[in-house]
Amino acid sequence: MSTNILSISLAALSAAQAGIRTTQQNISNVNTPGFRRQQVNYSNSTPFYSGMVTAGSGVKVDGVSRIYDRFLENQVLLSQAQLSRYDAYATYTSQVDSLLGNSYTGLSTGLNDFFGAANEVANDPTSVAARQMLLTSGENLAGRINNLNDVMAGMQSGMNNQMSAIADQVSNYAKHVAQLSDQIALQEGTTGQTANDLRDMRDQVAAEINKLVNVTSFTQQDGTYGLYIGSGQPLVVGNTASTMVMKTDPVDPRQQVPALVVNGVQIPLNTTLITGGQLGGMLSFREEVLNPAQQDLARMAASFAMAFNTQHRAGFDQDGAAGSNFFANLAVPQTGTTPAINLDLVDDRQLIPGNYQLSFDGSNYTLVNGQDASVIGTYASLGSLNTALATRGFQLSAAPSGAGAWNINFDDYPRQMTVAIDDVRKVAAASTTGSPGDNTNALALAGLQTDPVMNGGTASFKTFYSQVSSRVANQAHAADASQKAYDVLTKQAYEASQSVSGVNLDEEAANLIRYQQAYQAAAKAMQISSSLFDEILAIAR
Amino acid sequence: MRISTASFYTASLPGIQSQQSAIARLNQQIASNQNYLAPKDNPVKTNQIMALADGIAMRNQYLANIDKAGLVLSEENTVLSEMRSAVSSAKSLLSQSSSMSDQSLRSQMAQQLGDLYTHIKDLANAKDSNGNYIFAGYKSDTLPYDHSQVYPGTAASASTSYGGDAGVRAIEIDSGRTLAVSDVLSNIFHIGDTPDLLQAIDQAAIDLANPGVSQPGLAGNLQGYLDVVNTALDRLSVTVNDVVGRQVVLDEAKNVQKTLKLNDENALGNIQELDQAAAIVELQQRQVALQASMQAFSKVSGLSLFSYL
Repeated sequence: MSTNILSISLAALSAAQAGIRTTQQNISNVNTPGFRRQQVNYSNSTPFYSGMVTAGSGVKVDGVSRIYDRFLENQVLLSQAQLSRYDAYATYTSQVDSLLGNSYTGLSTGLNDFFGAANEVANDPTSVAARQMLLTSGENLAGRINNLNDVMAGMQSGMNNQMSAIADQVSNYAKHVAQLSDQIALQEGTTGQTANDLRDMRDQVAAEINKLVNVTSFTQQDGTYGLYIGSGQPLVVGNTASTMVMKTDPVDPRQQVPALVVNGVQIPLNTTLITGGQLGGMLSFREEVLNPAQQDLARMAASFAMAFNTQHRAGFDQDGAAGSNFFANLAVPQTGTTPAINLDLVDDRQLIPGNYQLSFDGSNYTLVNGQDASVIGTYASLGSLNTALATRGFQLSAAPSGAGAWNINFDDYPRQMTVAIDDVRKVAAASTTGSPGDNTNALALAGLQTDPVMNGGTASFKTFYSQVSSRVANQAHAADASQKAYDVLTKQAYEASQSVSGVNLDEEAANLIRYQQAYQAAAKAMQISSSLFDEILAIAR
Repeated sequence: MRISTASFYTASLPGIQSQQSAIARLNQQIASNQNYLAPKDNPVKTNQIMALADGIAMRNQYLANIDKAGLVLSEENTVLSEMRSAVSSAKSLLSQSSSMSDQSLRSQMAQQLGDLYTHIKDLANAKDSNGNYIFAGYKSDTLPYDHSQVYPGTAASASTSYGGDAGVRAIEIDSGRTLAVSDVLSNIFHIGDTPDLLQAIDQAAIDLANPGVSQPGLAGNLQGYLDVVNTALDRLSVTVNDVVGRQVVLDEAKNVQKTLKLNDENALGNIQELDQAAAIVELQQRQVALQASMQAFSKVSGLSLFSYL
C-alpha cells in the first residue's frame, strides 16, 4: 500500500517531466520548417481493487503525438506547387515581354527606321547618303533580329542548365526521402512509437520536392510510403528512389526534356505529367511562350528577307544592273561552285518549322527534310517542285543555271540574317535599266512597310510583330495574376495549417507553468506520503 | 483562432513587402513619367501605344516626304517660271521683228534671240542640287535637250534630240497616295515636230541676221516660228499651273498629316504618360501605410508571455 502511494506520485512526476520535455522540444523548434507541434498523451492507469473499493493507480504516458491537419497540409502542398510553377513562368515570361516590347531591343523602332530609309531613297534615288542610310538601317534591323534570337537562344540553354540542376536536386531529395523511410521503419519497429521527428523531416523533404516538381504522396496498406509524379510515375517507393535526368528532346535537339529513371528504364516526362513546381513552370513557359516567340521571329525574319529580296531583285541598281538580294539569301549553296537560286515567299504561315536540303542534278530536283534527312520528293520540273514547295510557304523564283545542292534553313535564319550588299550603287531603286532618276522600285520597297505580307496576306510586318509582342504581354500579365493569386492562396493555406500545427510560444509558456505546477504537486504528494510513513515508524520506536 | 508564433511574424511581412514594392514601382513610374513599365503591365494599352507610336513614325515619314516633294517642286517651279518669262520674251521679240526691214535693228533682235535661246536651253537642261538633270525623266544622268546653236552662223538649224525618257518621279505623301514631283517638257519643246522650239528660235535669229532673207519672206518665216513659240508658251503655262496646283495639294496633305500626328501624339500622351500628381499622392499614402505597418510590427512583436515568467 505504501509503495503504491509513492509510485503513484513517481508516475505523476515523470508524466510532468515528459510534458516539460515536450514543451522544450516545441519551443526549440518554433522556427523549424516542417515541425509539427507535439503533445504528450496521458491516460489514467488501470485501477486496482482493494477490498471493497476500486482505487486509481495514477497516470500513464501513452506517447507523444503530433498535432496537424492532413487536409490543410495537402492544401498547402497543392497551392505551393502552383505558386512555384507561376513564379518561374512569370519570371521567365516577363523577360521575353521586356525583350520584345523594349524600344531598344524590340523590332518596332528598327522596322520604322528601315522603312524610313527606304522612303528617303524613293524621295532622292540618286542620293548616296539616302542609299547608305538604307544599308546601315538594314544592318541595324538584321542586327536586332540576330540579337533577339541570341537572347532567346541563351534563355533556352540557360533553362537547360537550370532544369538539369533541378533534376539533380530532385534526385538527391528522393534519395533522402528513401533513407528517411528506412530510418522511420527501423525506429518505429524498435520502439513501437511513431517516429514523429523523422516523419516531420520526411514530409518537409517531400514539400521541398513539391516546390520543384509537383508530387503526390501515398502510403500503402503495409505502411510503404511513396512519392509519385504525374499519373503515378514513381519517384520514391519505400526505400527505393528513382533518378530524374535531362535528355535531349528527339523532336527539337536544341532543348532538353526531363525523364525519370525507374529501375533502369527511362520514362519521359512532359507538361501533361509535370503540371506544377518550378520545373513545371519552366516547361510550360518554354512550350507556350519561348518556342512560339522564337518560331514567330524566325518566320518573320525569313518572310521579311524573302519579300524584300524578291522586290529588290525586280529593280535595277544605279549602274543599270538587275537588283541582287538585299538581305542574305535563305538558300545557301552547299559548295562554293554551286549556282545561286533565289526564293520567293508564298505563304508565311507554312514556313516554320522548316529546314530543307534541295539538290538539282541538271534534270531532277530532290527535296530532303533537313531534320531527319528523309526524302520529301523528287521532281522532274521546276513547276512540280514549286507546287510541292508552295505548301511549305515558298518557291524558287527561277530554275538554277546548273546542277547543285543548297541548304534552306528557316529556323536558323534569325541568327544568320545580314545585309548582302555592301555598295550603295547596288540599291535597286529603279524599275527600268539605265534610269538613275527612276524611284519606282524604291517606292515599292518602301510600300512593304504597310503591305499585308504576313499571316497569309492579312498583316503587315509591324502588325505581325505587335501581335507577337502583344501575345507575350498577355501571357506575362496572366502569369503575374496567377502568381499573385497562388501566393495569397498558399499563404492562407499555410496560415490555416500552421494555426493547427505551429508552435505558439505563449501557449508553450502556459504549458510550462502547468507542467511545473503538476510536478510541484506530485512532489508535494510524495513528500506527504513519505511523512505518513515516518509517523508510523515513530509510533513503532 | 490559434496563431503560431512563426506565422505571427511571417504574416506581418507580406504587408510590409507589398508596400515596399508598390513604392519602388511608383518611384520608377515617376522617374520615367510612364504609366506602364513593361508591356505586361497592361497588354491592351501597350498594344495601343505601339500602334500609336507606329502611326506617329509613319506620319513623320510622310511629313518628311512632303517636305522633300515641296523642295523639288519649288525648285522646278523656279526654273519653269524663269523659262516662261524667257519664252514670253522670245515671243514679243518675234512679233516685234516680223515687220522689220532695217538690218541693224534686225541684227540686234537676232542677238537678243540668240541670248534667249541659250537661256531657255540652259533652263531645259538645268540640274538639281545633286547634279541630276531636272527634265530628263528617269534618265537623270543624261543631257535631255541636245541642240547645237547655229547662230551667228548661217547654216540651217537642225532639230533637237531628246536624251531623256518619259519617266515622271513620284513621292508617297500618304499611305498609298503618291504625287508627281517631276515633269517631262518634250511637248513644250515640240520634240518630234519641225521646227521644234529651240530650232525655231535659233532659225529665227539666223534669218533675222541674214540680209538675204528679205521682206515679206522674213515675216512669213517668223510667223511660223512665232506659232511654235506661242504653243510652247501655252503648254508651259499649263505645266506651271499644274506644278502650283501640286504645291497646294502638298500644303493640304501636310496639314492633314500634322493634324493626324497631333491627334496620335495626344492619344499617346494620355495613355502613356503618368499622372504625376496622382502618383505622388499615392506615394505619400503608401509611405504612411508602410510606416504604420512597421511601427505596428515592432510594437506587437515585443509581446511575449515569457517576459512575465
